[in-house]
Amino acid sequence: MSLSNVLLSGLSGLRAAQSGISSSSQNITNANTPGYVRSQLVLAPHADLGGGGGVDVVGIKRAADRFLAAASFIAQAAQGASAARSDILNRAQANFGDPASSSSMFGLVDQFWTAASQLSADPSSTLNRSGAVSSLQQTYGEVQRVGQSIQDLISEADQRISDQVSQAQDLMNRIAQYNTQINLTKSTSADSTNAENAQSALVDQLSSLMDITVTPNSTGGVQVRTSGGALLVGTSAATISYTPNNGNFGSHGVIQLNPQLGSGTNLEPYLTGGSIEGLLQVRDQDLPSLAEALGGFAGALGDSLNAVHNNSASSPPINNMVGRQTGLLSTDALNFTGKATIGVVDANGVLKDRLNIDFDAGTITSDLSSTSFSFTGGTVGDLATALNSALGAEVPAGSASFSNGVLSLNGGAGGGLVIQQDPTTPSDRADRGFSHFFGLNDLVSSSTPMFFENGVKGTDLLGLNSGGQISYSIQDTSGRAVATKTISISGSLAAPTATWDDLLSALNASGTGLGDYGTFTRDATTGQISFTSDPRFKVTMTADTTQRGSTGVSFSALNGLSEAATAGRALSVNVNAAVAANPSRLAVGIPDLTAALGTQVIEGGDNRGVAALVSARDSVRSFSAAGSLAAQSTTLGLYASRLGGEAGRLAADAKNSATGAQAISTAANDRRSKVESVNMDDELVKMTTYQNAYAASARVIQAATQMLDILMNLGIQTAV
Amino acid sequence: MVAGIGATAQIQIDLARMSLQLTDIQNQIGSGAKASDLQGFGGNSGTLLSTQSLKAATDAKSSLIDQLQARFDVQGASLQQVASAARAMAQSIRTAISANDGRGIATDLELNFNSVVTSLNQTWNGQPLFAGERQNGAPVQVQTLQQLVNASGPSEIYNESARPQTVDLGGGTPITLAKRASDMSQGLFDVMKNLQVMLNSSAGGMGQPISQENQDTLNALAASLDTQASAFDNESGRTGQLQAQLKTQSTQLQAQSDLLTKEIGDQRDADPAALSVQLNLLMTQYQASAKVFSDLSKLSLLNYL
Repeated sequence: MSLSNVLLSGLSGLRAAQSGISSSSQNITNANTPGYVRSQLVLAPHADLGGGGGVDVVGIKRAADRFLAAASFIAQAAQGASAARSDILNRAQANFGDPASSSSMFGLVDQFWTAASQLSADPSSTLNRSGAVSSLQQTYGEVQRVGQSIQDLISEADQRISDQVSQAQDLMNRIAQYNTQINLTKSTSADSTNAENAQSALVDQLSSLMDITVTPNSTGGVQVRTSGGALLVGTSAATISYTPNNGNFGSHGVIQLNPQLGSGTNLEPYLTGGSIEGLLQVRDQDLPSLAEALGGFAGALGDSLNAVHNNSASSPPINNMVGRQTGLLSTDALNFTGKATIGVVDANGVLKDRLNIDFDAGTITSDLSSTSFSFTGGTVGDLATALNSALGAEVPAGSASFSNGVLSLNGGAGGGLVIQQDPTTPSDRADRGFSHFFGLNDLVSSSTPMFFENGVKGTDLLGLNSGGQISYSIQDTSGRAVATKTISISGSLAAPTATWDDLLSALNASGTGLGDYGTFTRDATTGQISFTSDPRFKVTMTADTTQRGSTGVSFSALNGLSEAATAGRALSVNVNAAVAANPSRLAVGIPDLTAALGTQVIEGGDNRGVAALVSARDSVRSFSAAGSLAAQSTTLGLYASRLGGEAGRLAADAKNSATGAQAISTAANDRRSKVESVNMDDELVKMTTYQNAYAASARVIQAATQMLDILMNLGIQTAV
Repeated sequence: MVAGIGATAQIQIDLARMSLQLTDIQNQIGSGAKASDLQGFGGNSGTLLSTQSLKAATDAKSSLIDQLQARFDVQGASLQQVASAARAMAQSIRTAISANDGRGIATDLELNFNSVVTSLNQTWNGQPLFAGERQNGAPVQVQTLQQLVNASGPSEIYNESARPQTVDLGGGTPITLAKRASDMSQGLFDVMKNLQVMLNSSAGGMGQPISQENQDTLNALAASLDTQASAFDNESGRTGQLQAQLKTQSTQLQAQSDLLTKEIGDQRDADPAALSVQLNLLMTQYQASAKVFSDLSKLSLLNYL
């Protein structure tokens, strides 16, 4: 080796040491930079022919470990999903209030029962009646507030999905830009670690929004996919978009992947973690099921109270009964069996006549005049006509009408009406009595059907207006759009003779209907139509523009086939406005309609109706499945407790899950940071080493220089 | 020694976690409750709500019984007053017979009749006690003995409902609060009416001496009045029995309510002893972590190079 080589070798050592110190100083200054991955100097011996030639700085490499990074991404995605879910569910359950407080929704329900119980001691007290009605109003007011809060949270989750999709798009764009920059840098053999570090920080951020897998490109940069395989960043960034819908019970679109390509691919099936996925779960599953459970409770409480209230009477008697919106048409079959009695009383509650309705015989018979009025035609309209004739024959003359789905009875000026079930053969349609089914003396009312047992038979006339449409979207179990189906009320379904069986056939038809994706069935007892999805598909109703006559009631509302119909009850159910305005309409008594005509049957001190109301709390009844609550037979009191328990369990589980995911994420990040992040002590040792190496290289140069000097001086001395 | 971001982050997360736990303990100590929302109680929320609902129902029933007890106090006194009036009338008759002087009977009859009417028209909380379910007006319509004599039948004497007033305390069988005035007093009024008719037939009043025939009739009426007094005694006794039953029930409900209160407390209330231990433990951990963090931050090779 020549002395020149020694000098050059020393020089390369100096340069290597400088690069090392530069790398360490860069690491030290970025020790606290989030996402920064320390850089390492890569050295190699410089080999010349025939001997060593110093050291080469091959490059500066990031100390990234892709496997630890992958574990970290997975953990961050899980943490992001569970934290988003926990946050929203925590706020949802908080709406129910402190379970130990009397002002919580459940406390208010208890207050109503207490107020009703107190009414037993003095049923004629206006103050007590107002107190009971006011308690029930407060209860439903709270149910509505909680129900609306849940809907607001659904909207918020939807908005956050939109915001986070935009955020993810921005991150993907910037990751793609760094890909280009890293490619260029690497192609010029320059140091690309700064760009890679910046890109890595963006990938970390993206991993908390979506579960991702990251694959390094051979030319530099990375390829980012969702765990489900959807390519988010390749040579360029994919386009993702989402449009939120903030309305109550609005149908939500999907997160579209590359909509510009026209395929409209749904990204959601490809997401298995990340805060977006957590928000999707809370928006589409957790909150709707809680909302449905709340709606189910609101409806069941109202229906139970109405069952009692419709068989009771207020004091003084009421003379005008306006029923609920049944969704029925006057041409609909009556489908009642059994008997009921209308007691016609005067303003003082003296029984003037009994109108005995025999639904099996199709007659209304007056006890006073022995006159019989027939409704053997068997339609709702026929019954209304017969009732109108029967009440019209009374003194004072009353009336009855059925219009736009609502049955109304009037006892005439100075008259009053009391309706009761026959004790031995009670009237029945879909497990409800005559007055209860038509809601003639409801305590609790709703603008939409409160229950979905409609009593319709398959051979009954369909009655849906021509032009209406029922639309469904079908997805597979992975959430991929499979088909959309629309059943139009046209052709034979729009014919006056079309029946419910015809609609059922159309719905269940293979190809044109949903027969390939599930089955619609009608319960023979209750008449309610339900849908059972094929486990391979998820079928969602996207629109229902059908309507029965001028009732405003659609096919789905009548049968409880949409979220708006089921969960919507929490928002629409309230104390009957007539009772709220006049608490004396609270039916506190159960008159004896078997008493002789001329007997005063309505008395202020009759508390039998109140006792029946209170006992409704502890009566076992059937509850349909509603969201997170399974179908069950239990009491109203226990059902309310289970609703609260379910909300608490859901939120507590989500919190525990978030805590667990946070711990796992911390552990994964810690493990990763031990490899990738800056160890200050290591860097200081390296700096010392590089410093020593620099000094040693300088010493080599100095030695070689001295040797050269000696050689040079040797020549001069010889010449002298 | 790792002094990088990973190590500091871990310690910071641990400190944050402990801060949250400390806050939670502080909240529990401050409020005395384990939690203040459904999430805090988790799956036990249902049990807590169910227990509270049961307690509310128990307390409501207990309160209703308390109200009824107050009513029964007034009701029992009224019935006793009627019985006393009937007995006083019988005694008056017997005194008159023994003194062979019937001049005071008419006055006593009027006084005792008024007492009976007033007692039967007694109200509680504005409600007539013996009108059954009817609440508008007094159950006994006749105000004078002459109106009683002139009344052609019960409908002219009484204003009451067809059914007695009942209350359902949840046992399945409603309890009759009180018999109607007509059910209890028809016999008494018949005796008083007969006595008044007898007095009327004696030209406005019984004189001195009293004929043997009148003495026999008066003795029979006095015996009837005793029988009627006994009937009211029995009804008063029934009211007393009801009160005793309700008192027993009230005691049971109170015991049940106390048990439920304890059960709610067990589910809801924080345990100060456990909290104190937890608090000490956490404080120690917190201080240790903070100290380690502080010491680690100071520990650097820079000090030795």
